[in-house]
Formats: sequence, C-alpha cells, structure tokens
Amino acid sequence: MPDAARSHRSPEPPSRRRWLPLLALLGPLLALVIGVWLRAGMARPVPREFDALLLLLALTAAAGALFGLWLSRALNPLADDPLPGADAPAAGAGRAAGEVEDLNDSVIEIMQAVGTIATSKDLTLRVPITENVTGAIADALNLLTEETRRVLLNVRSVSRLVAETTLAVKGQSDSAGKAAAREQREVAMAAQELAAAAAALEAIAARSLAGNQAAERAVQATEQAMAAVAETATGVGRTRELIRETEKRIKRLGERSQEIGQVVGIIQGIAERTGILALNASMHAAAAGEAGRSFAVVADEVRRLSESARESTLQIGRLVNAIRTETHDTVIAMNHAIAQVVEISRLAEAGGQEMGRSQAQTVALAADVRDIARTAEEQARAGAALQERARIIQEASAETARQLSLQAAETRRLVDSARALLDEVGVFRLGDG
Amino acid sequence: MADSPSAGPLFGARIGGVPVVLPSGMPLVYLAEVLVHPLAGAAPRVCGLMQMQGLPLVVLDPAEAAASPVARRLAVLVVGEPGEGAALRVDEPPSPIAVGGSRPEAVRPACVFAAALERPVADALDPDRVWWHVVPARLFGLLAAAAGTGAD
Repeated sequence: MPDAARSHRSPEPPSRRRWLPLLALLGPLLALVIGVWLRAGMARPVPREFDALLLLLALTAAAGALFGLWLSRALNPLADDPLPGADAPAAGAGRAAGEVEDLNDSVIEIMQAVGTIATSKDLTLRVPITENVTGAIADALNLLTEETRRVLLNVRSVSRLVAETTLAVKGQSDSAGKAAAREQREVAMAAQELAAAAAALEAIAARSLAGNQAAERAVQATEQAMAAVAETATGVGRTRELIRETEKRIKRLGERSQEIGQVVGIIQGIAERTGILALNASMHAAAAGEAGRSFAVVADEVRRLSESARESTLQIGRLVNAIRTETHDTVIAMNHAIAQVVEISRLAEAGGQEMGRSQAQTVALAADVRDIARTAEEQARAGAALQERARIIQEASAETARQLSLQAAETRRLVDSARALLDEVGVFRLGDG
Repeated sequence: MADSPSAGPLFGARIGGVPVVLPSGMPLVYLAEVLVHPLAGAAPRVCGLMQMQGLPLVVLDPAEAAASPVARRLAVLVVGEPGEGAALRVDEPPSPIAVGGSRPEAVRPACVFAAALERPVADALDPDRVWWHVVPARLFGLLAAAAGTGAD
C-alpha cells in the first residue's frame, strides 16, 4: 500500500499539496457567502428554514471536505511528506502518527466550533486557530464568520433603517391617501358646483337672450308707437284746422242768422204797419157805415194777413234766435274742442318726445342686454371648459387615490418585509456593531 | 160816445187805464208811432202837438198829468177829421169788440175823465169785462180843462 500509495502520489509540488484542503474548504464557504448574499438580495421574505438549510449545507460541505482530507491522510500518511526519501522510517512513522492525531484533533475542534456557531447562531464565536494545517482553515472560517457578522450587522442596520423609513413612508402614504380622498371629495364637490354654475350661466344666457329679444320687440313697438303718435299729432293738427274752418263757417252761419233776424224784423215791422193800416181801414169802413161794409171785409182780410205775417215773423224770429243761440253755444263748444285738441296735440307731442327718450333708453337697454347675453355665453363656455377640466382633475385624483392605495398596500408589504428581515437577522448574535 | 143803431162793428181801446168803446160814425185813425212835440205853457193833460195831413193836431194824454219837455214818439188815436178832431194817447191799439148787455152796477172809474163815461156794457166774450161808452167832446173838454194835479 505505501508503495502503491506512493506510486499514486501526485507529482505536484509539496507546497501545492498543502493548500489542497484549504481549497477544498473554500468552495463550500464561497457557496455559503453567495447563498447569504442572494438571500439578502431577495425582495420576498424567505422562510427561516432556508437560511438554516443554507448554513447546514455549507457546513456539511466543509465537514465533508475536512473528513476527506483527514481520510486521505490517514490512509496515506506519507502522501504529503515534505521530506520524501527520509532515512528514518520509524521516526517518521511516529511523527506522522502524531501529526495525524494532531490534525484529527484540530479538525474535530474546528467541526465542533462550526457546529456551535451553527447551533447558537452566535457569530461572535471564533474557531480556535491551531499551528497545523487547519489553522489556516480556522482562520478562514473566522474571517468568513467575521465578514458574515459585519454584513449581517449592516443588514440589520439597513433593515432597521428600512423599517423606520417604510413606517414613515406608510404614515405619509396613509396621510396622502386621506388627502387624496379628501381632494377627491373636494374635486367632486367642485365639479358639482361648477356644473351648477355652468347650468346657472346657461340659464342666464338663455334669459338674457330672451330679454334681448323682448328689448328688440320693445324697440320695434316703441318705433311703431312713435309713428302712431306722429300720425295722431298730424291727425290732431288736421282736426284742429278742420274745427277752425267749421267754426268760421258756423260763425258765418250765425251772421247769416242775424241778417235773417234783421230781415224778419223788417218783415215784422211791415206786418205791424199792415195791421195798423188794416185796423185803420176797418175803423174807416165802420165809420162809413153801410157804404164801407165791403171795404171792411177787405180791411179785415188784410188785418188777418198782417196778423198771420206777424205771427209767422215772430215764429221765424224765435227760430232765428234759437239758431243764433245754438250757433253761439256751438261756437263756444267748438272753442272748447279746439282748446282740447290743442291740449291733445301738445300731449301727443310730449308723448312723442317721451317715447323718443324711452326708445333711446330701450335701445341702450337692449345693447346692455346683448352684452349681458354675450358675456353670459362666454361665461357658460368657460364654465363648460372648467367643468371638463374638473372632470379631468377628478379622474386624475381618482387615479392618484388608486395609485396611493396600491402604494399603501406595497408599503405595508414593505413594512412586513422589513420586519421579517429584522426578525431573520435577529436570530444571529452579532454583538455590538 | 153813444151807440148808433146803423153802425158797423165796434172798436174798443184802453185809454188812461179805462177800457172804452170808441165812437162809431166818427173817423178814427190809429197811429202807432207819431212824433209829438211838447207845447210850452199847455195844460197838464196836453202832451203836445202832432201833425197829420199837414195840419196840427192836439194830443191829449188821459194817463199822465205831466207833459214831456222833449218830443217823443207815442201811440195815439185820432178822433175826428184832421183839423177838427184831437188825438188821444192810448195804451194799446184799438181792437174790434163785441158788447153785450148793460152793466149799470159797474163802478165808475176814478179818473179825470170819469164825467165823460156814459154807461157800462159787458163784453160779449168776457162777461166780467166792462166797456164804457164815452162822449168824445166831453172827454176832450175834461182833459183840456183838467188841472195838473188832478187825480187819475
């Protein structure tokens, strides 16, 4: 066996064969470091068993490597003899057995220390460093443990900072969510008020339009009224001239009646004289006795004619007087009528002037109403635009609220993850950082 | 003025407020408006002088005692031929009348010419009305001789 073992000895130099166990341990340790690094980089919380399994696998790999090394030493104690070809085989065998025993103790000690670290998760513990070849392994394990402790301390610090920050972010997110909800309510109310204002403005615009149309109708009616007043004034003027002409004619008729009265007076005088003549003739006939009887008949007839003429003239005179009285009253009434017509003409003229002023004011009013209608329409359009913008703001606010809600959920999950990470890191005893 | 049996219709007139029957058979002329000129120094019942057919005629007033100092137009009744008769101022124009029976119980009016009134007769159409027949010459004489203050 020794020959065979020797024959199977590696032709590699002794210094390289001395570092093989160390290289055999570095592989599992590197796997352990990478596993811890990957675990720390995971966003999702990982089960605690994953960490323990990862550490157990790394330690098992390291122990397996050490056991393999020890077994090779035990089976071929001269395999790594730094002085092949020595002359004292017994002394060499004794020394080799001692080294193997020492190496076995060192490996066992390292394995016990690693088991203690794995069991207690106390990264402040250290593997005893021996003078033999396992000293480098222990030193590497201690370096690894120290680096792991330092990383976990950083992880714990960062986890605490992350937890505090996420708590703060969660508080801010909750406040932002509440503010967003309040903002959404306010925006909804503003949108409703804007809608009401827009509807009111549209109603104002419609009423202003109706007022404008009414004002235009009023202007037209005023123009027609002014034309009617002007025609009335013209008609009144013609009526006044007609009444004056009629008054002149009636006055001339009164003058003719007076002339008729004068003629009637003359006729009456003639009738009276005729009566006196008839009376005297009758008295003469009576004085003549029988001779004057036929003359008395004639005289009596003349007397009756004169009396009839006098009665007729009296009647004519009464009629003429009545005509004169009626004419006088008519002239007075016409004078009153003329005065009233003049007053009506003056009132019509004043009414026309008032209507002119009213028309000017109505035109100004119509212009104002048109301005109001145009302004109201512009305000209505602006209100509609504001309403559209309010709708957009409302949608944006709703989207903001939704995003904040999602953010709050993510923040809660982040808080839970930070707490879980703290819990995970808390299982290690790291000492003071 | 006595009635004449052959006389025609009678005429009556009111003179000095007394209705008298005008004498028939004598020329009678009624003048409604004749200019009477005052006559200075004349008797109170003499109104003045008028002119008829170119002849002056005395106008007597049975109603008024005081003559007007100025000429005026009056209604007069000329009794008799112009130049022989006289004119009487009358209250109204003469008119034909019809008389009935005598009315001796009628009270004689108290006037200056009451002595010239002969007999009262009733009006044929109005029995309550009384007409007095009068004697012209006596009437003229009484009026011409009447004093200025004589009772009417």
